[in-house]
Amino acid sequence: MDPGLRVVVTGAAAYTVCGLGKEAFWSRLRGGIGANDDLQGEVSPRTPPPETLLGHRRRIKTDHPLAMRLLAAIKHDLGQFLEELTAEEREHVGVALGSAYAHLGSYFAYYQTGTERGYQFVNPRHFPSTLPNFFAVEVNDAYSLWGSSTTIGSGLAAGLEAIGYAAASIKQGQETAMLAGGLDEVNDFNQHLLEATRLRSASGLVRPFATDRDGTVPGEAVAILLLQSEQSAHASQRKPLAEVCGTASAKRVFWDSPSAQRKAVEAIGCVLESAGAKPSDIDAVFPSVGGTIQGDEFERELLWKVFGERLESVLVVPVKHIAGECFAASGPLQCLAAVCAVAFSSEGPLLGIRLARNGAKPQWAEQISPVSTALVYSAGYDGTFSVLAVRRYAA
Amino acid sequence: MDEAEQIVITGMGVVAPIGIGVEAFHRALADGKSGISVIEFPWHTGYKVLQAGQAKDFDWRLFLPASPKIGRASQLAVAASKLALDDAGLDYPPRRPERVGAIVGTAMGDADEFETGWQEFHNNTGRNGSSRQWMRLGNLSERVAELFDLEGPNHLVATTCSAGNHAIAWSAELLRSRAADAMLAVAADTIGFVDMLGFSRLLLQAPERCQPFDLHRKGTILSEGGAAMVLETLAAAKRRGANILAEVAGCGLSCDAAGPFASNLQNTRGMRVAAERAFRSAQMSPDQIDHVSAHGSATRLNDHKETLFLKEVLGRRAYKVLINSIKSMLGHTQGAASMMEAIACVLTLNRGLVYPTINYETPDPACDLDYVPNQAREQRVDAILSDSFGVGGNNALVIFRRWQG
Repeated sequence: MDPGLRVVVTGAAAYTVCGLGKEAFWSRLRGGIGANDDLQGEVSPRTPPPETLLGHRRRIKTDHPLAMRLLAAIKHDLGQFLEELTAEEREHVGVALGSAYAHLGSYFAYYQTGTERGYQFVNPRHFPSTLPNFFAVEVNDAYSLWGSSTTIGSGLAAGLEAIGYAAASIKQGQETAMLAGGLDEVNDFNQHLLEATRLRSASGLVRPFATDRDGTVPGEAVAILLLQSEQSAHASQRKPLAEVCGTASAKRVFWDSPSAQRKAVEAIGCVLESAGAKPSDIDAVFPSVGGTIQGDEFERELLWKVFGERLESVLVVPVKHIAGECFAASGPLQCLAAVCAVAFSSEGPLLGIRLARNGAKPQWAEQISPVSTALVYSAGYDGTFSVLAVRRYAA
Repeated sequence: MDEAEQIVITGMGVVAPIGIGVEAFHRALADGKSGISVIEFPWHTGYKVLQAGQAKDFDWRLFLPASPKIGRASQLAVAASKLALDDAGLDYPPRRPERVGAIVGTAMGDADEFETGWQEFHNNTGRNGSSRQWMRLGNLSERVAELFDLEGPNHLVATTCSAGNHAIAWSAELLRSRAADAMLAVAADTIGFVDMLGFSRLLLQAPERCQPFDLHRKGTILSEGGAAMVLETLAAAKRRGANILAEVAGCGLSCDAAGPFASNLQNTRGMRVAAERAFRSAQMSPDQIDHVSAHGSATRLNDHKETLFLKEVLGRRAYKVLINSIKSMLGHTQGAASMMEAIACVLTLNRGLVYPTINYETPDPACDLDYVPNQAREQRVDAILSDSFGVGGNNALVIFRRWQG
């Protein structure tokens, strides 16, 4: 590993409830609080079906709805860069995706057909979509990327873990660029899980840190970052939007576990250390907070432990009131927001929450001053925890 | 290479259809014993008789005193991990839990648990979904960490049939980056209805035997199993006086980027990228390879393509290097396959015995290398290339080197 090698974000792609493209999501997030009103019950993408947007240079072989959204998002935001790569460059571009439930819809459709109708009614060509690696290899395939293809299935933090993995792959010199992020769909299983575990909002509204919050709402999303080595970014004449300066993760960080706060604080400490930063260097936090009673309280306590009295001056920017609980895609979506905040904060104010002392009502606020360094973390209801830091790129 | 960069293997554990534990595994491989037998399945897949490799002697309760109720793949992963930790002489809980981690590779995870859970959900019976970890692949890696109190890096990699080698590669990188002092690289899979049906419907499941590289090969035979290795940096292993079994000299990952079935015979570019990376990271040349532990899944296309690939990478030497496929005995243990093969590689390096490819009867003109047919062969081996090629195009290659310390 080359400790001096810097990993930069030079692009991003998204497909969310806000629509196709990272701009649709970022402008909505920046626009702020009112978006909450649109989250009534189930979240479903409101853009045209993605098949109308594909038109790849290669024939798209999949008819899987989530895979098509993934490919549409990448084509929309990063297609030009990927199309222009030379064959040799494609050998050094990899893909790392995290998901919690993305393959389950296909898996159980296959299972149901096979058990209820009979084996002869199963379409053999649908088998690959029952495998967890299906989405990542579809991306490699669509752009002839012969670099590594990695699928991380750890759980809700898997998307952020994938970004950490990708950054490490670049630092270790294995790849010069990586498409990294996460995706998940809303299916019968994760909807049922949210209900059975009483995490689902009865009101259909996600109210992060609010005193009247009553749970979360499932959402479908794809969020991908293009990571490059600094050298590769310069060679391809892509402007770095931000630098990834530290990643860490932990497991069994259950909100009600006695050791959870310690593990989460240690992971954040680890990231700050590798970023060469102190808590006082952090201008904004892009938390996991999804409007659940227990989860939000856990995160509020965590942030107080990390920042102490200074927390009141740190802008806390939730994303799930806009996008819903997107499972393993949430972390990458938060990361995308952090990258945009770092890259574009000089273009206008950013809306977020100021967390006051314990118990006091949180206040939405605009931050005018630019964000230089941001912390992003996933704290999943399944006990997975992953954290990373991004900062403004300085040549 | 710096001792803090050199990765060594200090413990191994295996639960396989041909035996439980490294010694039983070695004896069965040396004797050319098959682990394939007829299995019972509640659903039809189009085959009158279904053959598969099951770890029939595996009793989960013998591995942990208060064995929790967990899925079959998790059981196999935990049992193999326990054997590997014991073999390495590592305490659990470790003295510094935050410095020992686990990467677990799998193709399908706890397929039995998923499918039972789905049935309960579908029939609206049971308390399904009441756990926040319901229907997650990541349960495998977390259960390994939880049951042995490992608090270091913990991830689950789901890269189908190459997941075992991928877990080794990722573990090695975490050690090199000082994220941990020791890593458990684990891989496990069980046989679920979806993978059995998938392989059967694609005509990739052989009706009777697994015959890698044979002219009359009819496909693979699905199996289950768990395998694990303890990896450490050479510096860490020396510090604690560990018994070093072999060296992980280099790893290479890539993707075929050729569609879900990578069905173009001539397109070996992705495989070559992985090989170049493996040799570069090992600082070795293909001339130094004595033996190849092949993916050898016994499907018509893959064996032919793998043979072409080996000729491209090894050149004329491909005809002199011993190539085997232990899937002929084990069947295809899916995500666990390359970890099982890795254990076989270490045994070969230490015991000077190259295991056979059984069920080899009729040479295929398209597959014309030395596949060590039917009988194990005594030969000193110093370096082995272990290759694995997963469904979807995930390639993961590892080079193992004899430890000469």
